[in-house]
Amino acid sequence: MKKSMLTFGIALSALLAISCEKSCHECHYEDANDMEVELGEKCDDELEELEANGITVGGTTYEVHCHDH
Amino acid sequence: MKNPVLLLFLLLFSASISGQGIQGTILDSTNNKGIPFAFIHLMDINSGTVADEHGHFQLSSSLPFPINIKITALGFEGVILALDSTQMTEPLTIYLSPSHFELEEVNITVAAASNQKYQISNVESKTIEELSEVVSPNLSEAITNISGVYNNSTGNGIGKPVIRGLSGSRVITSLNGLRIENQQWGGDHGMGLSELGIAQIDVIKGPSSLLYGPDALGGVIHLSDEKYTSPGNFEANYASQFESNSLTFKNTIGIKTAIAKFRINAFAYYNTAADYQLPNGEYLVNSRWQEGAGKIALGYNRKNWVMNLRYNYNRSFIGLPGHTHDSIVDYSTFRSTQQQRAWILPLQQINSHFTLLENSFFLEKGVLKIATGFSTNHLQEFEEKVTIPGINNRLNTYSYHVKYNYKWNKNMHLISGIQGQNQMNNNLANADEILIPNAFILDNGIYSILNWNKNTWEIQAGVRYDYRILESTVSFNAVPPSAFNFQGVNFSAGAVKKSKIIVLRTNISSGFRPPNLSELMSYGVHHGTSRFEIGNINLKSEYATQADFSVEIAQEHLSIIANPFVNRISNFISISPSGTIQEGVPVYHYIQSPTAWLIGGDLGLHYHPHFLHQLHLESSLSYLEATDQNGTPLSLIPQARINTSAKLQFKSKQFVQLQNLSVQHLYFFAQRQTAAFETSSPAYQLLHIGGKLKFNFKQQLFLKFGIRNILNEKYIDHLSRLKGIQAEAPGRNFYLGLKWNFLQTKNLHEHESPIK
Repeated sequence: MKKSMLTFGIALSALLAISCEKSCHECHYEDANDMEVELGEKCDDELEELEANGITVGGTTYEVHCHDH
Repeated sequence: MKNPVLLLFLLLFSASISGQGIQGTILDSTNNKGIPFAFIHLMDINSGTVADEHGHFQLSSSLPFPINIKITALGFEGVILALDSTQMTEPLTIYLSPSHFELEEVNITVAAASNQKYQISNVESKTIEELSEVVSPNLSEAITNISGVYNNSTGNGIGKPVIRGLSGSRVITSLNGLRIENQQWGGDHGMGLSELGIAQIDVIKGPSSLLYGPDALGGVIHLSDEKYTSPGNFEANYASQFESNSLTFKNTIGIKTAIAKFRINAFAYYNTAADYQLPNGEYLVNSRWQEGAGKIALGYNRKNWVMNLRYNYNRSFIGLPGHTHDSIVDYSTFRSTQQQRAWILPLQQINSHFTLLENSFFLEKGVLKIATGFSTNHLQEFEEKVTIPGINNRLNTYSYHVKYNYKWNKNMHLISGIQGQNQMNNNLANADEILIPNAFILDNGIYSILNWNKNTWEIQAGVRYDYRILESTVSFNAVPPSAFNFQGVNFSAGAVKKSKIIVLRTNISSGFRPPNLSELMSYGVHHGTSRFEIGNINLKSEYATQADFSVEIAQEHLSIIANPFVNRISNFISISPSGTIQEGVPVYHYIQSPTAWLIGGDLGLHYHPHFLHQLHLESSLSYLEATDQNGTPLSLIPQARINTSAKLQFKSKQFVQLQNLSVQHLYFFAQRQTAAFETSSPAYQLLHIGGKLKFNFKQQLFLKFGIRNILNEKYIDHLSRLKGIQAEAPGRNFYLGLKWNFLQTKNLHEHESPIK
């Protein structure tokens, strides 16, 4: 009984572990010369902030893309 | 009695029935010998037990009456008994007749509990086990093993069931009686449910049932959860499955226990699939998907009261293949030599919660059932940004259903009910686009169905009235907040004449479907379909009238069924391209045709030869023609299909036991009857094989194996939404799955026999 419950617990933990995933993406923007500038991997709140407000460089705000399609 | 609330209270609690048990013996009608290990299923509380080796059984002393029990045993024809308390004075003796065919599924979804073939509506029932003899990539695809049912797919992640050529808002999905509302108007919005914890699927074809409300012109898919275990039992199982084509891993755990009058089932599931492989070895970019689900059911019963509380959660991430911003599309960009699983855009993220509380009160002359439900569906479609959705809709639905099944006498019973729901659709604040406005929808309906049976006849007739208010609550696309009212009176009437060999069934019924919010008011880019969709506030309700007839000839080893039908729909709504481009995508308008005719049928054969009892040969032909009032074909009408399977079932007591082996062949005829903007689809054929091994450990272990599309056929189904990007369906797919019943303790507290 104990062995079976332990097996069950392990299976449940494994299921939960693989179900959780952090939201991170590589981001970039295109500068005034249409050159792609990589910003690296951004996660969670930082990612959301960049997508919502873009990035301001030298007084100019650029739209940030954090996806690949 | 002037106070109706007091009257209802007295009705509920003055029932004089006291709880009693059931005991009896199940005998073979040919020799009066006890049938060992027959199943006794208490249909009203979704629990049961198993007879001992002599056919004796005993059930607890606190069961509600009247109660429906189903008795089944391998090799015998199942029976359903409606028992009332007066029959409980002495032990029951139940006779079963030998049958060479598999047990007829029992259906409880239409109006009254009865064997499937005696239903007056056209209903076909299958267990999830029967539908999974060859494993399918999703639930919608699995249901296509039922004749007349197809899958409108967007890769493996999205499937919408199609019944007799109709889908979307014209098909109702019901989970244990709770109507699933998940923005089903969208061409890319899938069924929204997995097979987790599902035991049986009943498909009602056409608008013949009055129990589910408006909209079901195509039919109803009713999903029933697995039954509870017997009191004193504890069961736990783990299942895992791998599919080679899309590197799919699927893991499921389940627990069942019951103590005295309490019962609980709990399940959890996680599925992850990478891009699927095309027959040429490339991969379809962004056909990846993930799905997680959990469900719990709590049951409780007292002497004349049964309660079930059910909760189901689904969360899915589904990639949308074929995305491009290019005006000249290069289809090769949708394919890759690399198989990926990580998220890219565009994608759908869907979170759904479904809650249902059912209370059944067993009164002296009938059963009163009160069901209340709440569901919320949060649909996000991400197009350009990973944290800011293009579309962000939340649909909340509150529903109720009060049904009284009154047993008039032993031949006649009357089912009456009221049913409705209240929906609120909201666009959440951070979406880039609004495709449909915020709106409120209120449904109310009332119905009554009379069933009469005597000797070899079953007759049913019913009528239903529905009223819907749909009200947009904000100005949208220059249309001020608007209210739309719809109403419809519908009927269903039919008869079954049964004899030992032939069963004749006929049914004529009507249904209506008001235009949905999208058809009335959508205006904007729908990323999931890559269309700019424009609604039409002048659309009227669709009205359908269906005539359905079937004849089934069943002999000892051969069964043949023919089932023609005709369904006429007036004010038929469809979406049609305008030939223009807006915001980079083609513009589509909702339009209405005066009439649509859907004419078709199914032909089925089941052969179970005497000389080879392990063998079952089944074949069915599904055919449909659909045209408008001018004879012009409608779009998205499925290809005619022949579905043939040969199944060998084995019995042995060896340590490793091959339980069954199935070969399935599907032939899809070419679809050349196409709408003006459609292209035809060539014929194709598929060959699948599947098998199941059982390892006779103390804890049972099952191994499933098989291959889908053995021939690596290169095809695009006519209903595939990926036809527009010339993306074929998956190629050859090997699968391997195991199910381990790793914990089974039985009868800790009560003396009842265990249930398998």
